[in-house]
Amino acid sequence: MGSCAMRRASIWAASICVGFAALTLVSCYPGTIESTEELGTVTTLFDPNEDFTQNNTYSLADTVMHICEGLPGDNDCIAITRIYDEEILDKVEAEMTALGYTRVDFDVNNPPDMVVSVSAVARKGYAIIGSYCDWWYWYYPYYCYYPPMWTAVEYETGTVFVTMEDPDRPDSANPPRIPIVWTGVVNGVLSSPSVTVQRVLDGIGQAFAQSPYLDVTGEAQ
Amino acid sequence: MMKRHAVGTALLVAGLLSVSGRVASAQEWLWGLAYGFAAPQGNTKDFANDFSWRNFTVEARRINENRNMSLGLNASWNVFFEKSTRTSVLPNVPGSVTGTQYRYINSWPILLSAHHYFGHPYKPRPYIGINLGGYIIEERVEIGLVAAHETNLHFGGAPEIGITYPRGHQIWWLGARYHAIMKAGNVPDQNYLTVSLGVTAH
Repeated sequence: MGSCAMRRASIWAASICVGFAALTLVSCYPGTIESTEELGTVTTLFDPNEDFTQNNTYSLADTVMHICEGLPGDNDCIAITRIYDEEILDKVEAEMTALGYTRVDFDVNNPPDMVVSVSAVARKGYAIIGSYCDWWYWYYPYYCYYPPMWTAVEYETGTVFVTMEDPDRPDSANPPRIPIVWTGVVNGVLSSPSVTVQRVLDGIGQAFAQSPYLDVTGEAQ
Repeated sequence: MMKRHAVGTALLVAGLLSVSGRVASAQEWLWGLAYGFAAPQGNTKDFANDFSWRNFTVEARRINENRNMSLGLNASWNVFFEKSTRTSVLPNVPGSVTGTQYRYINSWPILLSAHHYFGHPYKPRPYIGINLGGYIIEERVEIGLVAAHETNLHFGGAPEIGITYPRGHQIWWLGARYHAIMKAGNVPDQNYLTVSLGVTAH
């Protein structure tokens, strides 16, 4: 009887040990971010009421608009260099040409089908990271720091917006506003300028690539 | 829909416990743990295409006097994870988003089980079984600096085949379950196959 109880206890002890070891090998959310590039996203939004296939011409503003610079009281805005503006605008023009659009100068009396503009913003962000408990700290399988430690981290994010407006569809506001019918948003954590600008260019390419409905050549439909 | 599943599960529990109680004489409980892997199928595979090694089960089975049938209860934890660069359609607004996505499915089934064992109880023997009950499933997507998740209680079941190998006071078993899980909330029906190696003791 005694040996039977001991055997059962040993089986359960082994099971508990195996179970505990197994649980330490897994978490609900395995996998960790390996580089800041993984935080980059390209988001596109469009107006479902816009018939993009009817468009042909567009005008492109020759300057990248910096959104937050100069705003009074904004201490988190980061100045953006203008040395890559031309590269970015050239990329947008190349993508529009590939979609079948023809670039024209803006004429208020004969507006183009689309008005395209590029804007950018770079800002500081903040996060609080807690490091309260940790697996396998020294020889304790699960160690909780006391007192809990919290670290504030600062990061810089940048966003480039490419927008298309349809001047043929002003709303009824006074003065009338021109609706944005498509937006491509390239967002990411800033790193060195050369790396960042390549990510911006790739992101702009991706924004157009994931918007096949913009194509007016009829090839992508 | 969830309420109907809960009522169905409750009735099933009551029925199985009733049957279990009536044939309980000279029966004994087997308790055990199992570890295994899981292969996603269908919508589960579309969401997180991962051959998962994160599959744990705790199991209780009440086996009858003839040792050819058992009724029981099991609870599992399955984690599916996929890291990939994807373009996804945005929910609720016309548009899409591209980026490195961390996709997770955490599935916690709590199932009633019935098993039938063939052959001699003290030799290796095959078995078949059925598991029915509730699945708590969380789907989570992390992209950029944002995350979206949804957790629902699903109703589902898992037919099972396997083989047992008695060894002293332990019974080792190797079993495969095909989980067929119904839609709940915005999460479509889910399917995955688990293969587990377990040990029970009494």
